[in-house]
Amino acid sequence: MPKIALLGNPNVGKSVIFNALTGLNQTIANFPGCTVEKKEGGMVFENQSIEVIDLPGIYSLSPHSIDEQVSREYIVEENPDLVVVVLDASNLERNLYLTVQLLELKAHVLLVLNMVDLAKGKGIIINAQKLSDNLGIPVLKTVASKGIGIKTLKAKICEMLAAPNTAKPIEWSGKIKSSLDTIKELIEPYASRLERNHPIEWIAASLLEEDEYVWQIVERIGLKREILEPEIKKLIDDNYDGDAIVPLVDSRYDIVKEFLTDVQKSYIGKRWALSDMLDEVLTNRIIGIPIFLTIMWGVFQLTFTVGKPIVMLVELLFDKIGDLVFILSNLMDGTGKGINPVSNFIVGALVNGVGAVMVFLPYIAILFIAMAILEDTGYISRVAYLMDRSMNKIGLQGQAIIPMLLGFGCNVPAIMATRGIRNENDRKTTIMINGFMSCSARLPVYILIAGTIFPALAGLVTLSLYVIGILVGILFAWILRNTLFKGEKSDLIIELQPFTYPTPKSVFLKMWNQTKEFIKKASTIILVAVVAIYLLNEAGILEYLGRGISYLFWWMKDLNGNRIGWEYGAALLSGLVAKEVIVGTLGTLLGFTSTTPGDPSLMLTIGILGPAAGMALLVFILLYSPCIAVLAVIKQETKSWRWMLFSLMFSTVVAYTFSALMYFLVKLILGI
Amino acid sequence: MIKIRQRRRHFKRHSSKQDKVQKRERVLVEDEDHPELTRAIQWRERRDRRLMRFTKHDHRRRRLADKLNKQHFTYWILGFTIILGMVYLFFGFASVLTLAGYTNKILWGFYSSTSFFGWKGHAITGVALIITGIIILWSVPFYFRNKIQQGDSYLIIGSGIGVLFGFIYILIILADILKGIVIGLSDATPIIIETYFYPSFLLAMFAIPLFRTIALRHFVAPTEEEDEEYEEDLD
Repeated sequence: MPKIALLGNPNVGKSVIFNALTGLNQTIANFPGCTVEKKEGGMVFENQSIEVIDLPGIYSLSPHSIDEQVSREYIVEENPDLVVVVLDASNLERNLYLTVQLLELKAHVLLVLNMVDLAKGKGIIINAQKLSDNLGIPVLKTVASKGIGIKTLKAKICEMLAAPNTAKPIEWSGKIKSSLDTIKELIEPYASRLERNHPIEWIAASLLEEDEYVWQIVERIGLKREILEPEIKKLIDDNYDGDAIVPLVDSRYDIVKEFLTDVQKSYIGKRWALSDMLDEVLTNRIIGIPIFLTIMWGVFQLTFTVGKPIVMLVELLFDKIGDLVFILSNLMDGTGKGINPVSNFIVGALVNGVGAVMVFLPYIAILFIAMAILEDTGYISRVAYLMDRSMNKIGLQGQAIIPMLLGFGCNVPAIMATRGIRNENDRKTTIMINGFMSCSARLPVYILIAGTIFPALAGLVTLSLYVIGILVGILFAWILRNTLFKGEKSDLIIELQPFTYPTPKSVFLKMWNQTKEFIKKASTIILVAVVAIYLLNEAGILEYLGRGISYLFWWMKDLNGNRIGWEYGAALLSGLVAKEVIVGTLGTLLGFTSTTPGDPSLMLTIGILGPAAGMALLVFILLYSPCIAVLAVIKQETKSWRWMLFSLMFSTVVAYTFSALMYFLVKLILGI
Repeated sequence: MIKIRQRRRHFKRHSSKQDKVQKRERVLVEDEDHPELTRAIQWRERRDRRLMRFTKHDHRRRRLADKLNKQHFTYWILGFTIILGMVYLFFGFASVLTLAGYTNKILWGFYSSTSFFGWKGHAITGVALIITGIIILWSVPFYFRNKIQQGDSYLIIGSGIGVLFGFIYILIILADILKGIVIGLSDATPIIIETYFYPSFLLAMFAIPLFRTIALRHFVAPTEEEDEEYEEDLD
């Protein structure tokens, strides 16, 4: 089966094209670094099956991070039958740099100018035919997010696989040309041993760049590095004062400029494009952060207030299910009490436990819709840029921001996204603090506790928890970066793509994928966990465990001056499985529905906690150890049990400290 | 004008029931000869027509954008901006002041007589209104310094946030209605709907035209020839 690879700069729409070609639903987002590992899929067009590979975005074939290495190694070693290079039509000059390198590599290339609508919005018109003539390779235009140009792209892929074309050879000029000729002469005697996917021109250019990866290839064909390296070093010293990378990059950009002759036309004039206007304000260092907080307040206000009546409907549904179980049990039992072990189990574990989690589904769905809209417009990358400015002031790196923002969804993909960070110390720091970013699994817990204790200010309390998470993350990133992970700092390089209108399909798919995950969790992990908790509770074991943990919070007193109940200790323990389980456990142990005979209402019991204990508990849940899935991914990414255990202990100690601080602070302010 | 009148008279004189029948028949014959005139055209053709209409619409909007960029429109926008910014700030501070809890005692019963604004539930959104007002007013110095593009940038964000909160509060009003219905249904009590004329919702009515005007001022579209060049390779 022929293989094609999708390659291009980050955030140019490779994954959107991949989804359009294969019919799959890979995660897409309007910020760079969404794809960190290669994804495979299949495409069938006119009875021809083709394997499609989606690669992480790269700016050049000289990689600096793990995900960039994945792309380069795939292109160089796997040598796909066709490389579909996806370009951002509104930023051709920078995007074509990678194409020049691919042409050096003599890869079979098809160029796709994606997002031509955005280019048009910026006042740029591109003559694709002229570009194709200049490059000697086919060039197509697409608007992948709207499915425009995909059919032509599929047909062209098949056509090019049947009859591969050869691009015009790269014509170097000046000093670079003579240097490359000299290096080629040195390699020439061994050229016959080079594989087809390692052309001598590319080897020569890469050696001039002193690329370690290419040195390994050269050594494999029998060339002695100790002989060749001093000669190349001398050539670089004599001609380029010890660094040939910058002149080589300049030379490639000169070639790009030649390719772009008579290709682009601008008609915008003096007027600013809408996207530039938005950037002027949203990335403003004074007003940018208040705007971000305002928008986030809007999102939480929308989630809590609009979600409330729908949640009430779901609550009503579970209430009725609980009633029905007792009625049926009563009918079958015949005693008239409606209580027996089976009905108790169904209501206690399933209706109270799973139901307590499921009622938050409307909130989750609304929040995911709002976040998907923000993500698809491209606002998230602006937030990253904005945060970088303030974080840099306290000595932190910028690359960490994207994984931190991704952590608001789920910490698992967020930790995987740290592969885009070039500096290993930065990467480990980001992994360690990622758990402080409040993932969506914690939201039901906030809604339950904040909604009960602070009914009028639930949105504000939740927003403040997110802010506390960010601030604690920033603080400990700084501490870790200056102690355990000392070293050089790297700058943030982020593509601020033009703002786009989110498509309903993309927003729905994102919301559905995340909501589906929540439902799946509720029907598997959470169900098993609440059943286990119910059984442990019935056996009396859970009380001992919960009591042990609640003793650690001896200083935390409720409104009646009593220590918090063992049920909270048990709930915190169960949160290690998944954070939503905390709600399920509280539902099972404290009774979710008021129809449960003899049990006080869950809301009533939580209300007794009071503002100080409630806030302290919320802060602890925000910051304490990540769930098992996150711990597993930390082990996978750091390749160390040590760092995984460190993360578990470190976050729990931080959570405990901040929880105590919050408790005494609220107590001091409110006096209760 | 005379010619048009004459034509109308001519049409009136000859328009009868018979003419109408003949006209209908003529259209039917045309439909058979020209399938694009029938109603049962393929969806693709229909889409193409829509696209063409959209492109024409683009050109109309381009002309409107040119008009809106004239100097005297900037003066109008500036005047409206100052008033709207102040109003946003007033409502913002009035909402935030309710956090102090003196809503029934201060300002000569201002809050109790304007309780239809739903002040109490709007306190934190008041901060958002203040920020919106600040962003809107931030644009004013730029206009005075003739930095129209920067001024427009702040104005589009300020009015955009105003529109966003207006939309959120429409949904909140709908949620209030739904909540009343659900409580009524679950408790088997009469349905009581408690909602307000939230300031965010009302102010959005004035932010929408401003947002639309600024967006139109910055609308760009290629000429017809350029557009043909753009559309050539897209299926």
